[in-house]
Order: sequence, then structure tokens, then C-alpha cells
Amino acid sequence: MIERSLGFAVWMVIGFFAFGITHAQAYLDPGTSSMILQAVIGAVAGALVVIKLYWYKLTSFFKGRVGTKTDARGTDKDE
Amino acid sequence: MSDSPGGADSKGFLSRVPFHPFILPLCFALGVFARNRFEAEIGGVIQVMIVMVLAAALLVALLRPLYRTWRRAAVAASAITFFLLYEPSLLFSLEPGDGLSLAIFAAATLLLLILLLRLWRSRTPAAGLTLALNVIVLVVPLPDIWVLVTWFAGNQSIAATPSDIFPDLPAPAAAADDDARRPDIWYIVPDRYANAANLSRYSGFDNSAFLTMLRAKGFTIVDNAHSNYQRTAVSMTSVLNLDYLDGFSRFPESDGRDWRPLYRALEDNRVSRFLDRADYRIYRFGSHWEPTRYDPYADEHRNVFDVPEFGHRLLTVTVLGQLAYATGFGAIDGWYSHCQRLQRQFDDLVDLAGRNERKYVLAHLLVTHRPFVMTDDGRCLSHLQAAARSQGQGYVDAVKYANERFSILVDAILKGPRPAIIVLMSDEGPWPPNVKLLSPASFANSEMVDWAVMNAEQLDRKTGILMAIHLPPDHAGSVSGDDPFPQSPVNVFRMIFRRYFDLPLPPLPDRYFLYRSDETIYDFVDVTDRLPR
Repeated sequence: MIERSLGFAVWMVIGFFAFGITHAQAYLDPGTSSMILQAVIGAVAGALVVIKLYWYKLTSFFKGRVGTKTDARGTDKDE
Repeated sequence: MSDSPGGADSKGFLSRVPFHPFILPLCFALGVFARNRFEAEIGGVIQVMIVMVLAAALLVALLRPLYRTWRRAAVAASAITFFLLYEPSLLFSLEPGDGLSLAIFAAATLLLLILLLRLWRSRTPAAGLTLALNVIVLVVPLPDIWVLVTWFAGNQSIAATPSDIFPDLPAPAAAADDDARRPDIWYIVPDRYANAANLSRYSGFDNSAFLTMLRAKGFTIVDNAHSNYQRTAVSMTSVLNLDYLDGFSRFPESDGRDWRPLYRALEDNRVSRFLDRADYRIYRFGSHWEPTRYDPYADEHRNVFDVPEFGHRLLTVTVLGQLAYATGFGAIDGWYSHCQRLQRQFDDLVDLAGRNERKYVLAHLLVTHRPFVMTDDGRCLSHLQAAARSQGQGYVDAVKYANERFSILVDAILKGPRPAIIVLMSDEGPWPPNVKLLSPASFANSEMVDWAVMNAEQLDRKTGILMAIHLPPDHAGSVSGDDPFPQSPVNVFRMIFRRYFDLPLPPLPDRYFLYRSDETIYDFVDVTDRLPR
């Protein structure tokens, strides 16, 4: 039951987005579903990068070592 | 705006070189292209991509002084680009008068401004942001790239050129000085203009006054005419190549969803090829729809906001396109350019009628085709004004407007300096109601119709067309009485080329076909016996 409700909710959300742009006077598909998929992939990829970047802080937090190290590797110059 | 303190190695390529603003628009274009791979030509897509990358480079260059470093400028550029390209697809499209859509758009805009302001005020080196955004733009398009690569690798239909499918007609004889032997040719296509019986039966509109006027001016009307195929692409490809579309069956390896070979045969068609060689000046009046927007043999194209359909489609789904739609600004939005295009093209056609030159004019006019953007006297309507009118009334108003403009145009052509053949013939009828749709096996086509189960009435409505032809009086009088007048579109140019260019093109049997579905567009079924006679 929960799975069916969840599935229904997912399809409702996809439908809501997929039919967001319906008025353009064109035969070509607006690509909305591709945009949604790209956004999901981008969010996952971004989250993984953030986790990687903050991995030291995360592990330090659980080890009780928050703030014991100041990172200097991000202070670069690109000018 | 904080940057990553833990792991962004600023010496690494991905965190050092901010290429993401240039890849992000490509991700967007690839996403739309992947959805439209059955219709869009890759050449047009690449052109659009080049323009987008150049625009991104300009944006980064403009932001560089403001954000002081290339990496921060690139992050700001990507934020702006993401908002402009993706916001309407991921949140909500703007609708005129809809407070919710306006509120969502305003909130998204405010969020962008806050982000840009925080980035401007921060001193972050943006190495972590650069790394994250670079990784994202490299990963995001992979599914679309996979779809495109696998499809292009498996699709064999590209090898079939229009000349392979429809070989050239015999070369025209040396240009004759006798203009009556080489009259102008006007092929006017009011898309979805129904035949008189269907206009009366289904729209409650009596079109007899217009048809009587045409007959009085020398037109022959084919009553109860039907298109040989059910939609523009197949119908006009057949007309302009003077044949049925059986030629595609010689390429059985073609993907049944691939419209491009059909579109190419419509663009590069036998009529244009032949008349180009016969020293005709060729004019094309197209619309936003790519296959009739451009004719490679045309000397002049008359259009409004004449940009490739793929680029126009991309524009309409961006914030710029949405703003244009909501505010009615200019030609970016298809609605207003549709109305402006029709007004301008009808004026231009009348102007052209006065030119003393041997010419072939093809005007594909979406005047009786949705959206119905004008009143019966040709004034452009706003979205809200049009929404207050029923679709049925919109269609009837469009027919009335078309009749008025066609009357003026016919008069201008007949009073002009040149003898003229006038073919006033639609390509398909309007959509009947209650059409059964197939399950959307492909999201890419919103009109996935189950043609196989259409009943006789629906077939009659979808293929019932206006078909009126005027031949120059001097020549028509000299034609042998046993030369049959065409009863269906496929025979129209066969008759013209037979009578005026002495080509050996006997009439074909009048047959009517449907492709079975949008998944099998080269699989035709003969429905001749299912249409009213």
C-alpha cells in the first residue's frame, strides 16, 4: 500500500513537471522529462562532491575532533 | 558563500579550470535533442550549440570584472544560465494572469539574486564550487549522450537521400518564350482547411459563397476532396514528389520513428528541383515548422522570426521564452509571431502577385491551424481573449479570415502581369474529437494517435480538404478533353507538369493511406474504401 502510494506520488510529481510547458506553438518536444532527469543526476553528483569535500569534517565530527584542523588547501589563487 | 574547506585540491584540473558555464548550455541542448532525435537534424543542433557556447563565453567575460576572479565569474554565469534555461522546466511555466506561476517565478528569481549577491560579497576562491559544478556538467548529460549515441549507431536511414527515394524528373525542355506555356505556379496550403461538406457538417459553417466566388473566377473545385495521407509531413511530401510514399519501403532498415528522411524529401522535393532547373524564381512562405520553413532551391524566403525550429523550441522553454509568452513581447513567443507571420505573409503574397517574373510560390499557411490567434477580420488576439472563445469558433473565424485574404490574393494574381496556375489546396483536415491515443511509448510525441482504430467519420474529418485549382484560361481551353482533372492531391503536379511541361506523367489511381502510428510512420495502410465517396 505504501509502495503504491509512493509510486502514485512520484508519477504525480513527474506529470506535474512534464506538462508544465504545454503552450508553445511547436511540434518539437520541450524536453521537460530530460531536464528533470538531468536535475536529479546533477543533484546526486553535486551531493557526492560535497560529501567528498566535507569528508574530513564529517569524520572529524564523529571522532570529536571538530575544528582541530584548519584547511588551507582551498585558499588558492586563480587570478 | 562558503567554499569547501576540506578536499578541493585547487591544483587539480577540475577545481582549477571553470569550464562548467560552457558545458551547461550544451547539457540543456542535448536534453532537448535527445527527446527530439527522431525529428531534429544534428546540423541545426550543432549550430544552436555553438551560439549557446558563445553566449556563455560572453556572459562570463561580462561578469569577470564584477566578480574579480574567473572562477567566481564562472559560478555566477552558471547560476544565471541554469536559471534561464532550466527554471521553466523544473518549476512552473508562466501563465498570463496566473498568480501561482508568477509567485513561483518571482521566488526563483529572488533566490538567484540572493545567490549572486552572496557570491559577489564573498572572498571565496570558489575552488570547491568549481570542482562540484565541473563534475555535475560532466555527469548530467551522460544519459542523453548514451541515448543519442546508441540511436545514431543503430539507425541506418540517414543514407537514404531524397533523390534516392524520389529520383529527379526528366530535365525540362529549353525555356520557352511563350508565357502561357510556362505560367506562374502558386501552391497555397492553408493547413487543416476542411472541405465544404465537413465545414458544414462539423463546424456549422456554410462555405458555399467562397467556393462560388472561386468558381466564378475560373477555379475547378474538387468536392469532397481528401488528402492522400493524414498529416502534413506525409501529405505534402507526396504532393511535392508527385507520388505515393511507397519509395520509403525500399529502405526497410529505417527506424519507423525517424521523421527525418520524410522531412528531407519534403524540403528537397521534385517540384522545387524541377522548377529550379526550369528557370523559375522560387519563393517560400513557411512557418515555424522546419520541413516547410526552408527550401534549399528557394530564391527568397518570406517569414517572420525565421529561425531554425530547434533553436526556436529551445528559446520557448527558457525564461526568456516564458517571459515573452506571458507578456506578449515580440516574436520569441510562438503565439504572437504566428499572428504577425500570417498578416505579413498575406500582404507579401499580394505584393508578389504584381511582379512580372516567372515564379513558383509555395505558401504553407497555418491560418486554419491551432492556435487560432486572430479574429475573423485579422486582428491579433491575446491569449486571454482567445481563451474566451471556443476552439470551434476560433476555427470558423480562421476560415472566414482565410477566405477574405484568399479572395484578395486571387484577385491580385488574376489581375497581375503573368498567367498563373493557382492551387489552393490544404494538406489535411482538422483533428476530429475523441481520437484514441496510444500509451505514450515515447514521451517525445504528444499526438501518439492510434490511427488503426479511427472510424470512418474521424478519417473523413482528418483527411477532408479544400481542393481548388485555377488554370490559365488560354491554356485550359486547349487541353484535350480526355486529360483527366486531378481528384486527389498526388495528381495535381502530375497534371501541371504533364500539361505545361510535356512530361510523361500519367495520373495515378486515387488512393488514400494512413501510417499506422507515430512509431511506424513508413508502414502505410490503404483506407480508400473507408472514406465517403
